[in-house]
Formats: sequence, C-alpha cells, structure tokens
Amino acid sequence: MLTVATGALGGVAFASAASAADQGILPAIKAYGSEFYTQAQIDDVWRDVTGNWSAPLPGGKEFPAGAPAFFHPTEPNNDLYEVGLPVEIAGRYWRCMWLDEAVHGSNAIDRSRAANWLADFAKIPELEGRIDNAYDAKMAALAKRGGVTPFEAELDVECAGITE
Amino acid sequence: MTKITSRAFRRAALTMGAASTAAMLMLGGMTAATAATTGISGTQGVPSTVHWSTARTNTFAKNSVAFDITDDPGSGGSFILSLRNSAGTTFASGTYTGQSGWITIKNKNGNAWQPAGTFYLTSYISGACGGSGCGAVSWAANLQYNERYF
Repeated sequence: MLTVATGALGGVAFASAASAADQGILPAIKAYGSEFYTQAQIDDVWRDVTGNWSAPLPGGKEFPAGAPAFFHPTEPNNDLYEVGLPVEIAGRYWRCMWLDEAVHGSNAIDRSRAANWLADFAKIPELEGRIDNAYDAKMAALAKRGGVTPFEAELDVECAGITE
Repeated sequence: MTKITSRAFRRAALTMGAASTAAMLMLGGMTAATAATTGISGTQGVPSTVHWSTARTNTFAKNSVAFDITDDPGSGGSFILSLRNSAGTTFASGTYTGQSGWITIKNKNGNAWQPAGTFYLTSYISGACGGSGCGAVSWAANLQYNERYF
C-alpha cells in the first residue's frame, strides 16, 4: 500500500511504503517461523510490489507487467517463494535500470541523475533490512580487478537478462 | 534432528540463514573480499522446491561454491541446492544423496567454478514416499561461497 506522503532522504524523495515486506498480499504458507508465496500468488504479489514501488524508474522504463522469469521456473515443481523475494528482485530490476542509465545514458546530466538515485538505493523503504552494507565495496573490488568502473562491473555481472 | 511427518503439511518450509561469517578485510586501504561460510537450514515438503530470499554475492572472477549437509533431510531421495541469478537463470547446482563431506556446486556449463555476481538459493527435495509425497522434512548445511577458485 502506498501513501501520498513523501519523505526526503538525502535529497531524494520516496513515497512512503506501508511495509518493508511484499506489500499487501498475505503469503499463503506460514509455518515454522517463515512465510511463503505460492506459484498461484506470485504474479499478483509482483504487481502489488511493483505497482506501489516508492522510487521512480528512469524515463520510459517500466517493471515487467507480470512476475518475471525468476518466478516462473522452466521446470515447475511445487514451487514456494520466501517472503521478501519479490521485493528483492524488484529492487534488482530497479537498480539495473538505473545502472544502465548511469553507464549508457545519452548525456552527462542523465548519467549523473542515475548515479544519484543509485547512491540512495539503500534508502528505498521497501528494501529496509535487505541491504548488504558491504555490497558497494564488493562491486568496487570487482571493478578494480576488471579495470572498469563499479557501475560497469555491476551492470555486467548482475543485470544480464534484466536490462536486455 | 526433528522430522516433521504430517501429511497435511507438504509444501511449507522454514528458516534459512543463521550467522554469516562473511567479512570484509581492510588491508592497507584496499578492500579484500573473503570467503564466506554460513549455516543454512530449512523444512520443506517432499517433493517441493523452495526459492529463498537471501542474496549472496561472489566477487571473484572465478568462485568456489560448496555445501556440506549437517542435517540429512532423510527423504529417501535427492536434495538439490541450486544457484539462480537475478534474472532467474538456474546456473549451477549440487546434489546430495547421502554422501559425506563438501559437495561442489557445479556450473551448468560443466565448470567447477561460478562467475562473479549475486545469487539466490533454491532447494529441491525429492523422496521415495510414493506419489502422495511424504510430508515435510528438515535439513541443514554449511554453505561456502565467494571463495576464490584457482
């Protein structure tokens, strides 16, 4: 669920999300302290998560209308999805679309704007509690070994099949 | 080890994770990623596939990823731990059928190493309980990743 109130975080405003989990659809399976969405739920969950995403995408970009391939295995077998996974993957899509803009944007202003959004990735309300604080350092180390920028390294290793 | 045998509960699963020993070492101003070993566990129906939400990242050009079962699911079938990338491609897996020791998760292309990037775990359990399945079983393992492959 989304509220109209916004909060300015580091100069970037996000609409405030009601939950750090996967928005308003309750997981069908609750057991042993964990919660899971079923295959039958996952498209609705994806639409709910992405439809209420609190941070904008680059101009002209949209989340996949239905749950992407990650949630539609080629060999289905009683698949369950842990709560938080739709938000996790939506965050990856968001990040990859901005990475693509930061690396391949048509002008310096667009690339700089993309870099600013990426710098505030950890402040997206939906991702609260899901951020690897060492991630940027990992990408920096990877980039150094490859002789490229961190954005280029991350786009290369994380975004195949997402931004293409 | 606690087994859950309720036939009414065939597809649920439980916790994944535990304390990660992943660490970043600061060395003379450079940041070096170190290998991580973490405990993972779950309970799931037989047969079933559970896609876990924790993201983990390999940071070397070539990385070893392996697991060591510490709590045998005892389903009478196979336990397969797979790695998926953010786009949903299952690019590597390892199969436990009762053997002891570390099991290397091998890439679909045949390599014993995995490329750099973030992955998510998927656990699949099959059983020998007939077509109606055999309830839910628990498992636990140590997972090693982000280990430089030589």
